[in-house]
Amino acid sequence: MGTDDAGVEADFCAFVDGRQASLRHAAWLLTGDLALAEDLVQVALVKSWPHWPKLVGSAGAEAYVRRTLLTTYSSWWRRKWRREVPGHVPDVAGRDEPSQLAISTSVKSALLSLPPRQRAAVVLRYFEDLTEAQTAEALRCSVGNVKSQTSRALDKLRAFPGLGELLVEGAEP
Amino acid sequence: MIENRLRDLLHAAPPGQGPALQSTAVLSRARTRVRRRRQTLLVAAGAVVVLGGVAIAAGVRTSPTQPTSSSTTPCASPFAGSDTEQSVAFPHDGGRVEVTVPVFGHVTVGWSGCGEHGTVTSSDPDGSTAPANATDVSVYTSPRPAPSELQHGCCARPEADGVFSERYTATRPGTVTLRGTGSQGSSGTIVIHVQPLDPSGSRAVSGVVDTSALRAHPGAEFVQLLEKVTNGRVAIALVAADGTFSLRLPPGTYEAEAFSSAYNDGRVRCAARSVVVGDADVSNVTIVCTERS
Repeated sequence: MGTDDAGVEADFCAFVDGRQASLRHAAWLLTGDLALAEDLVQVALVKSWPHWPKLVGSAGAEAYVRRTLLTTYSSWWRRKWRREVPGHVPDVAGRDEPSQLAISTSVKSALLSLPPRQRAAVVLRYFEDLTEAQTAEALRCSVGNVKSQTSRALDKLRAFPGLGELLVEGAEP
Repeated sequence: MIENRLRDLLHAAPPGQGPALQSTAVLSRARTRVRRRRQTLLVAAGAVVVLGGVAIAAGVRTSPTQPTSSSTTPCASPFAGSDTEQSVAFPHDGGRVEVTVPVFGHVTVGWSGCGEHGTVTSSDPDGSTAPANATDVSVYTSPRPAPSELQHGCCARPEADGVFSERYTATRPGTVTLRGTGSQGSSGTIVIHVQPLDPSGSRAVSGVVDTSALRAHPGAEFVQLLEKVTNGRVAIALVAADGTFSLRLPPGTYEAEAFSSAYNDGRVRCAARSVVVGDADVSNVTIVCTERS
């Protein structure tokens, strides 16, 4: 293995070590299941690896992996009818405070109530902090479509039991 | 602004804690994927590739099956620990094993040799390939070739590095055949018999899927009822040509949705109000399909 190869591998491993928490959080918001989120992140990373020599050291690496994560998620929900359903054991709460767990449960339930595309739009806009144009590019749709998807999603989230109250201005997170 | 509050909540919501991905394991898997894709391309071109003493021609491994330990069984999935979950290893050399599991139970299947992995496909016993018939158990068709390690007599799942075994959720009474092709060339079959729920602990639930509002889409193929409290117990029933369905469920509150492979464009959503199953049978569930313009 050459020095360049070793450098690419080291950069990839550093990326995995450094960014997996954030990627897993986004994947969890999309899937609502920790095990699926882990799988989704890993598949996205594995798919991204062949392109790493071009991505090494660039700011575009993370954007590329996130895009791959999203497209992989999209391909999964399009085949929803043949995929495994999350198990009945709840995600490990670990050292979460009760309030955090309550928020986690509310957010997860509310997001899962959204159609996959609306869910993806919400995660991209409000978790990834992408602009409407960037979200449209990621979802391969128009900016107008992003606006309508987001608007519908917000309406549903606002009306979702348990989350609507949390969305009220001034409520404790 | 609601957007700002939502932004705060999304970041404040912890996904739970799981084991961290091992970067070296991810890298190893990525290399394996690249190597396999190259092999696939070569095989597709009719080439004969000799890699590590294993000859591959036209997609058929000609090397003898590597002997693997038959004394080990796959570790259960991280969800294991209940009486309704069983772990079964694929037999080698074309063998067949049978397992019985109740609806809502799980079966984890895998290979007995450490480091062995493979692909799993399912088939309905009547030979039908209709999508709904593949939903008796959920199927991953993509390999998850994470190497496993021998720990305490079974092949353990490396930390967050995928699984060498697959977990199937029994959602509908019936029989499903899983065929596993191992990484070392072996193949075997696992037959899963999914038993219906005990009538004493369940109620008959029936209803109809209303697709009258849809324009060109066909009727739903199956309905899925997800138990809301646990957000995990799921049952499935096929939808008849007239839109009706029936199944048995234990008491609880369920989310009902209907699906069809024709709805995968995301434009159609079929859902019902919460279905509450109590002491009596439920016969009036209506799942309404709507279509976005």
